[in-house]
Amino acid sequence: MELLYHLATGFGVALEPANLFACFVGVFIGTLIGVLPGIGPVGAMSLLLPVTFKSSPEAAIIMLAGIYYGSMYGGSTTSILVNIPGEAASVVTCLDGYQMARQGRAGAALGIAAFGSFIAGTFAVVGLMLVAPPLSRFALRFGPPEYFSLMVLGLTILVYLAHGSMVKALIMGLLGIVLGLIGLDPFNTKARLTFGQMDLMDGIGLVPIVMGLFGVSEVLLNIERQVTREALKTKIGGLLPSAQDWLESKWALIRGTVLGFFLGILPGGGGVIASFISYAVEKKFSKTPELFGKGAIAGVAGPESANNAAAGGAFIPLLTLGIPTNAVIALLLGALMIHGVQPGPLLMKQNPGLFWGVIASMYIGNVMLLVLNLPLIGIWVQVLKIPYRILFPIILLLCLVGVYSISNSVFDIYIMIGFGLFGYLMRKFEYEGAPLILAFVLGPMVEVNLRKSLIMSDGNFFIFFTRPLSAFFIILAIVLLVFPLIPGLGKKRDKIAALDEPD
Amino acid sequence: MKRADCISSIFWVILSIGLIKWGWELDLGTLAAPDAGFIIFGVGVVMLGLAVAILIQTLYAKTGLQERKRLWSGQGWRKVVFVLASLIAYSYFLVPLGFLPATFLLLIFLFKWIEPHRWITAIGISAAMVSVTYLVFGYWLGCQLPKGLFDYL
Repeated sequence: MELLYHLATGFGVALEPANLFACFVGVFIGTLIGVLPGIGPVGAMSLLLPVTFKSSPEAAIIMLAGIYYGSMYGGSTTSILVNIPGEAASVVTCLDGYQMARQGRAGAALGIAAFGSFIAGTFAVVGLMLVAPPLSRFALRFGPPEYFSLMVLGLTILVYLAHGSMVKALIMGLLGIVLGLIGLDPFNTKARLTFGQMDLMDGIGLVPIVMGLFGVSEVLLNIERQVTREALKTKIGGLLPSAQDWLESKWALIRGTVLGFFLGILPGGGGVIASFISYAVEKKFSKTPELFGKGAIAGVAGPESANNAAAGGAFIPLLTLGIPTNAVIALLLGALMIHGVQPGPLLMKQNPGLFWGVIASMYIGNVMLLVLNLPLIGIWVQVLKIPYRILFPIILLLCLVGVYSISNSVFDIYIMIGFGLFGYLMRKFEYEGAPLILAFVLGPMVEVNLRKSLIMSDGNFFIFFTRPLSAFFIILAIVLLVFPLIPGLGKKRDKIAALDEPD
Repeated sequence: MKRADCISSIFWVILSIGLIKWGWELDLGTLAAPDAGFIIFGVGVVMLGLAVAILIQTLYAKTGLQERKRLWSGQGWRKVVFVLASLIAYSYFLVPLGFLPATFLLLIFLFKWIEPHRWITAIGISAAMVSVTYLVFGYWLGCQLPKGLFDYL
């Protein structure tokens, strides 16, 4: 009963005109971002962060969350029609989605992707609603050692699941931690790594780094490569999947949803890995695995459900523990803090309107997305035709204005340009940006909790092993780090990493 | 990736030595009372170990021919340099010139020289984009965009 009461409160918040509008804007922009290759949800959310400054925290988070799960919906469109994933979680949809489109079944592929996303997204919201409250109460037992160990585990999982070299991902994570520490020491206010620059006293902002790494660097790479896109010249009809299509994809939908939800909760997990694992699982379970890669509808339904369920699941650690599990959620954490909201176990008690309002808005957002994705496919196809040479100056301009408007600082623009160049080189040298961003956000929390733990234990590192929960997290992290050193298991991880390569 | 990994690992070695030095200078404290440099120093040490590992791995790797060509093939990198230079110039002139003229000039440059369009198209799109951005950020969101030359308005 209590749950229904809270949910009613949430719908009361979500259905307020301003919040409803924020939800619509969020899912619309999210779909648009998902459709457009060259800008992902992280870049889009950081671009639109300044837009939320004038709104209430509820409207801001509802909109930003809408962009995240909306982009998961939209990403499938480009994968199916152009064979270019709109965002990383839709890479695997290209394999069978594009083949279906070439066989004249683009409508069925888009339809099952949209319905699968809707079903999985809705399931994830129900899961979030049921799991978050008890987890929140449980999280109140966490002390500094538990928080430290959990964050280390999150970073380790992200590093473990990195696309390429684990060592490179670890280095990026370490760099992220150091960048997060720039500014005044939280214990004794000593200036660290500021090199006498007053602009660095408050540290580096998340938005300039994210926009540089994900916005500017993407533009630089695309103008260098001369990106050209050609939409498939096929008629998209029959968006409602047939009975046969449903029959072939029902188990893929269910498995993808459950798998995606749990992988989303996992620190370091997320839509990308969920979609790849779902694809591998479906191929394994299929009676006709030879059809995968040649237009199997289960190869679209499973991954698309998985990445949407993961998007919903990823909110659980953020809302209950205050810990982001991936770069997008890290940005949401930043947004919450900018709006003066401290996510964590007490969020539900201190801000019930925001907590339940965001959950309720996801139900509404999922319905909006279904409405947006099916009848508006024609518009999204037209959007795909905007040439990149028109698009890239717009992206750059939004990055520049977005960064400047946050703190009216030209210094932040220089930081963004610097990270744009760094991100460009980083991709050339096959380093990943996600561990850096997550570590950047977690870095200060990792430091504070480590130092508090050591003070608590009088300098004894065994405090992380003597407390059961902390020991569980830290041992799991150590196992994951040692795993690749075992020859057989290392090879398995490399195979997954190779499969995960977008090219 | 032999050459690229070699270059990147040398970069990380230099950075990690810097971190170790800065961490040390900031004071490490003790284990029971870690000070400001404790984590920075620790991160530096671990990063140094990883960078050296990549470097050693790279030196024993067999691949890597034709790499320079693959990393920087074609003429595209020139555009990257021009875009970066234009963004730096924009940041430099943003406050003295003001948002409207500086942004208009940047967009003209991007539309005309980076990915060439006709003059009329470049001017038209640039003017429209500057106006829309100014209306949204300057008026609607109330951001303090620099006025520069139009400060008297």
